[in-house]
Amino acid sequence: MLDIRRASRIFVFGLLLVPAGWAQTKPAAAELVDATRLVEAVGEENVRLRITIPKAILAALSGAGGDPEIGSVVSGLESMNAVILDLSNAERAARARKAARDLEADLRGKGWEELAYVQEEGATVRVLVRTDGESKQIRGLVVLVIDTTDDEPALVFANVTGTIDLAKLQQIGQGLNVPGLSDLNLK
Amino acid sequence: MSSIERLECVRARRLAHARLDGDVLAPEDAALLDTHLAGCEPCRVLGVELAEIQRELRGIPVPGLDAAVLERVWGSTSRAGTAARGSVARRSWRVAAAAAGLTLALVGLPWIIGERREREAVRDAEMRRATVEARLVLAVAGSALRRAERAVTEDVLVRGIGAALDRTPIRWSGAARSRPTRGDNGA
Repeated sequence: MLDIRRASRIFVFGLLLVPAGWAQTKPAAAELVDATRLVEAVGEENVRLRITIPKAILAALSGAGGDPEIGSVVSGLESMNAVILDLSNAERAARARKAARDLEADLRGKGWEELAYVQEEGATVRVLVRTDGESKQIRGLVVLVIDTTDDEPALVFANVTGTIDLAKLQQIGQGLNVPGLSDLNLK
Repeated sequence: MSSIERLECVRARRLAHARLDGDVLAPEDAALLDTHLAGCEPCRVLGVELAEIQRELRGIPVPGLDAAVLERVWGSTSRAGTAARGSVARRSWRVAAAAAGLTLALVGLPWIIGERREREAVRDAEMRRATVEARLVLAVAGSALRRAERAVTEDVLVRGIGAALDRTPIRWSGAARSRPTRGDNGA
């Protein structure tokens, strides 16, 4: 027969298992990637655009009253931030390239993996992802683009954290009716 | 300050109040007040402060009084007064309370409604801004992914899968799982 002491031990053990179960069902998002070093490399005055969207706003966007087109994509996201830097000066562009390489190395050291690296004439595209250890689900995405082929050469940094569906992101990106990266008129 | 001076101050302040209320002072009172204010700094400061308070009070918009509402309040207070048959002091208190309630309702309600509308307008503006920003970040990320995909496709067509993987360690399904590193032919 089960005595009270044994029953209470089982109960306490069960309580300890509950948070562990929660932790497994909801893996933590990758931490927000700070773009400060990129901004510092080119100077604050050369920031063309800076975007930071916290979780609360993303939740509002995905809720009722939000844009239905992007609501489904941002529903699992925890943060979005982006910086676009002006690289019209060659020296500044060199500093930005170095800062981008340093940031990439730093992220790799923290467990981020390179998903894509494309080097074309005058343009470099890096895509890094942070995956959840067990489920291999993508929990963080960093896009680093240095494009000097355009009339307005720029470094584009974008960071998204949360549950990310790359296929959906790519698909929705096409249908967003926003001009392509090289055609973005950011001024 | 002597008792005579204090008496002068008391009289001068009474005259100052009267003048601020729009009363036309007798010439000798006006002269007395002006002479006193010229020589008494505390009264001069008080006069300026009172004038400022009055100016600010005049700046508060006075809502139009709805005749039907006034009629209802008047009717209810009259009935209450008649039924109670209380003392004059009690009736006065009720009338004062009704007047205070009416004033609060007339002044406070539009203010509360205005505040709420303002908050909703700010929220709507924030949501619109966040929507545009989220679209831009998604477009940037989607564009980078498409660009990487296009580069890989072109490379595969032109130089074969080995060269493409050498240049771009990209995986579209099961992202970041057992990817070859740069320099590894893979195929």
